[in-house]
Amino acid sequence: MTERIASILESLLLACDRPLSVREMRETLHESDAAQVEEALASLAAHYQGRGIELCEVSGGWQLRTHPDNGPFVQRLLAGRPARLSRAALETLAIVAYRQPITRAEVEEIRGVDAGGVLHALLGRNLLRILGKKEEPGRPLLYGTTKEFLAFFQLRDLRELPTLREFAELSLESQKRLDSAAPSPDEADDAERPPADAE
Amino acid sequence: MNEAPQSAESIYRIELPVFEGPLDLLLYLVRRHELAILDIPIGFITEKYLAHLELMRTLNLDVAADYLVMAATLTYLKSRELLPPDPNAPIDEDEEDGVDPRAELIRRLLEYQKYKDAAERLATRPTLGRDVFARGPVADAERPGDEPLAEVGLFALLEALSQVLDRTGAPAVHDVVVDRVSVLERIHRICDLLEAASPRSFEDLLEIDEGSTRAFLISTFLALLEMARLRMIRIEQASFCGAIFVSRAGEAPPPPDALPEEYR
Repeated sequence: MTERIASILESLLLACDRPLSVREMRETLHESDAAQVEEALASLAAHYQGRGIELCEVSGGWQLRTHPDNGPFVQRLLAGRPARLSRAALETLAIVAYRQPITRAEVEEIRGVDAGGVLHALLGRNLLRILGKKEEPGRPLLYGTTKEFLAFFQLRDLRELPTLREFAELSLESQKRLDSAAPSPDEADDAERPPADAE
Repeated sequence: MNEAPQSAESIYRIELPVFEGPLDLLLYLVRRHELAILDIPIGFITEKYLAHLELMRTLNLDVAADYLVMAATLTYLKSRELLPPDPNAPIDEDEEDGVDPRAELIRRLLEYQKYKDAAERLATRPTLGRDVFARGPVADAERPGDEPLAEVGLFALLEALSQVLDRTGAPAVHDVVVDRVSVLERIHRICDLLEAASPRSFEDLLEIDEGSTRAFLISTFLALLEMARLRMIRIEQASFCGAIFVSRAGEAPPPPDALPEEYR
């Protein structure tokens, strides 16, 4: 049974140009048992191990994608410009991703430079969207990430973003200290505290 | 790579990392001189920071206002370190006694460093359209989601211009128009127009201002070409022979000073 389902799912995934959610798969299959679908997906994912295609869980669904190692070749075939983001765009995306919903002023406070142009460009590329307006004077717009953002960086959901690293302990001097001594378990707490106290 | 004879400019080459702003520059200086962020020596870092701004200025790089604000902050912090506390000074409400005046700067540096790191790690992820590819049309990473607009060829632009010229039927009068419209002036005007609404149709931009003399229209046209060259605007056409749209490019347009001299 699983084999039959896996076969159908493989066809669906190939024919679909966006991540396909488990719910959509179940509706298409008329299969009420989610476990059956999950099992079939797992067997498919295993099937693609070591091949040029991967079955990836991205942006709330599943999608067949080429293997990252083969990226340069696919790029050559498609002869397109590789999707590139400037450092400004990446930093802005990272800030919004971790701090959403966030206003332009808050992004600028962190980066120390004007963010209007970058935010606008990222909205245009559909990597960011406007979530609403903040209840404060001027009612500034609140920015957040989109499903396309998740798909773009091959993320299952926002929780898959790596935890922010605290850097208080990572200056070179303390880095040396860290290297010589085993890090104490409360290191992270130290980093959390405002720097004035940590002095 | 052709072996061009070395010009005076190419003999001396200074490699400068590109900084994303004052905080980025400060972090670079901290790392370069192996300083501890938590105990940042304000005098030293201020000196290095100002020296760097000076270098940027010598290289004719545009030193954005953000850098100058940081320079002022650093200089202020430095002066506070040098001066003995003034007992008669009115107590600033924001500054309690004993709080390190550097605290705010240190907090911002740490905060920025955190997201800079997160951005670097985001960049290493398998990225759609760069490392991994999915089925279906290749996602136009430039602007997915927008109505698909094709890039316009130069001749389509020229044709649109001639259409407008025909339509306005600019009369062949023989007075000499003395006040020529400069391309730079038109660039400013188009910037303003696009700021108010973007995208706008090509015709709209050409015809919006009255007094459409030939020289005027041509200046506007040249301004559009120049802006496209500077990547200040995007020019797109949805279908063959369809309307041409002009929109602001994603990044903020370069300041007018960045325009080449000959267009002033």
